[in-house]
Amino acid sequence: MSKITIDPVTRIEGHLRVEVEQEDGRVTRASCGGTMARGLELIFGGRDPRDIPILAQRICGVCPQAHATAAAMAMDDAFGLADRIPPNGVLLRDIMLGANFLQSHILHFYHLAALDYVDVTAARGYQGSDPDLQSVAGFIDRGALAPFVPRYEGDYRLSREQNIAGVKHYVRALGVRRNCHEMLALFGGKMPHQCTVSVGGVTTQVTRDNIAAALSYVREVAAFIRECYLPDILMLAGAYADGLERGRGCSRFLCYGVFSEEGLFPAGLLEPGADEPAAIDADLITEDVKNSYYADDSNGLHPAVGRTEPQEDKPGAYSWLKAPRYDGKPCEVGPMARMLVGYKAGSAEIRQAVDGLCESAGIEVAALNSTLGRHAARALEAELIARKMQDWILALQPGEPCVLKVEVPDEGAGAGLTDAPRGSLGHWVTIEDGKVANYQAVVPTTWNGSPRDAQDVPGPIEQAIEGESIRDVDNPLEVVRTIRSFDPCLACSVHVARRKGDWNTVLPV
Amino acid sequence: MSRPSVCEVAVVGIGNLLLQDEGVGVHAVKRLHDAAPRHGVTYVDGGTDPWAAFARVAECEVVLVLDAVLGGHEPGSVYTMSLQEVESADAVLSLHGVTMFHLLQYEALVGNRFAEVRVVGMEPESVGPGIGLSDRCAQRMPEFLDAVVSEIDGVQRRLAAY
Repeated sequence: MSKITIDPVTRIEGHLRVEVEQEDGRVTRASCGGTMARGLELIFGGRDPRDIPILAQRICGVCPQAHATAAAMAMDDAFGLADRIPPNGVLLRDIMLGANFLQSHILHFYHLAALDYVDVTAARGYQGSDPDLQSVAGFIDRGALAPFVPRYEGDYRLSREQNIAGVKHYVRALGVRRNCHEMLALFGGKMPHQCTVSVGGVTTQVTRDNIAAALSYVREVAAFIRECYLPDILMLAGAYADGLERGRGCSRFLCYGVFSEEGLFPAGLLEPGADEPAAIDADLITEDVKNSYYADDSNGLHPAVGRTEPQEDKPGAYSWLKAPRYDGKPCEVGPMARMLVGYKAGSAEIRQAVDGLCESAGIEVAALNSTLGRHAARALEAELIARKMQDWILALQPGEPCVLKVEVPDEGAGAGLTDAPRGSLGHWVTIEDGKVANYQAVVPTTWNGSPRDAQDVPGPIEQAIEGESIRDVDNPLEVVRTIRSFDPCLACSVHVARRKGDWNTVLPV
Repeated sequence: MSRPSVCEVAVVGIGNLLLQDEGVGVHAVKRLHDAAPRHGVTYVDGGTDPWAAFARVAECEVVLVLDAVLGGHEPGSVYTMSLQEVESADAVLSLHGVTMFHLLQYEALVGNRFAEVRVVGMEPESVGPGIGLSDRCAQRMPEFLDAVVSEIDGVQRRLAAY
């Protein structure tokens, strides 16, 4: 037996550390440890509730918009306004969140995951006239491979032409990212970190100009998804068919529902083998801490009354993440969960998208529940959102109000349940004396990357890796591919730089 | 924050405002923006989204990144260095593992090559949850700001010499 540690982080307060025990090339046990200590209640407690949507987006560098949205929804609920937000405000929140989904999904696939499958070195020595490929070839010639080369390599199966196409799309995706940022900034006032999503709506104005501009941005993104992203997924499904059989997790899927269009991304809990999802009862969400660095007396509490009592030396603990459970069981969240919950709930748009892809790839719907299936679901979702956003943008009414006038209640409690690009996101607030008294957030990767719970049932990523075969123990790319397929999101944005070299020879100014 | 028509220097503060000294770069860039607006300088609160921040300053010649830096000296110590002097992580498991280096390489790939990237950093005392700097880092903030201003001066002198 040997142990492999996949710990990608050299900066303080690392992100995600996965320990894998293997025997004869098969994973016998996986332990997924997050290294973020939570403590939002320490930060938000005592503050004006109206400030929280702006502050909350700083929790995360990859999905700030989802945090802003969840916080605003929690406050709407606590203020008693949730069903009175002006239609423009509802649409704008959806459009801004949608822009964040698009950039997040495209970035994740092209700039993180795709290079596990696409061999960028195929562009070496490129002599053609394409400036993007010339640029990549130049990088390779200079030995500047840092942005491209994954550390775990060795299983590239695409033809040179396919690799070249993939590399070209990789570069094109960088420009598409900018469209998404610009689109968000149209309504968000500034970029990064918009400043308009508020309790009661969005503090901006809708004009014909910003409608036209947003439409133009999103159409370009939609074209990229159609012309590059979806075809590339099909290309991978052809060459790496085993990726559709690997990486099955706990097979219980949770989605809080996202975007306000009725029935598009419905909420639901899909049990393994169930024909349709069950309605969600948010009271059934609890957090276990048996294997987490928190005092045991906070075990099994609902997030709304959750406590964060760090206990660094707790015996047996291996994660700073708590283990969220629904009705006592682990759940996978994310694009694949949303697609399968939506599919089984009968969302017409999702059915059409999933059936179309499955037919093109020659696979069953069940194959989505896999390493490569998670990428496919992400791409399908991006295509669907980019298409629907055009409707939402056209539904905006120039000159109509976007936000309510709000007054802070003395007392209140609220929940903001939505989905971030990488899965279900919940914010819970209680207000006392007009100030935030308690604040808790359960973020997507706490679901997917959770440690074992009070019954020692592994979390979804742990389950997805356990049993996986590894061809080369020194190069466990099968495991890495599966971890990446979850698009994990942790230790949001702690990124203190570390100076290298011999410190004794370098003097501070 | 405003963008002048000609951008010589982009000053980008990155960090998390919710983790005390981790956000020192953001605090600094806001102070500079309010106190020292200058022709040719763009100040950007990059916060926890350096992806968007670097994309925004693509047309600038030189980038100064303000951030917390672990340099092994006492908290509050101010460092200036070139990008090459900052330790880089080469393996990336999640989008959160993507570093400034990757981002700058991405910019270069689409043709945005900054003539120079420099880092002005401060040694953090506390990066636990909380808004606002530790007393020690707050006390040393004037030095930090002076270091940034002198970097800006240096860059503008060099650019003017061309």
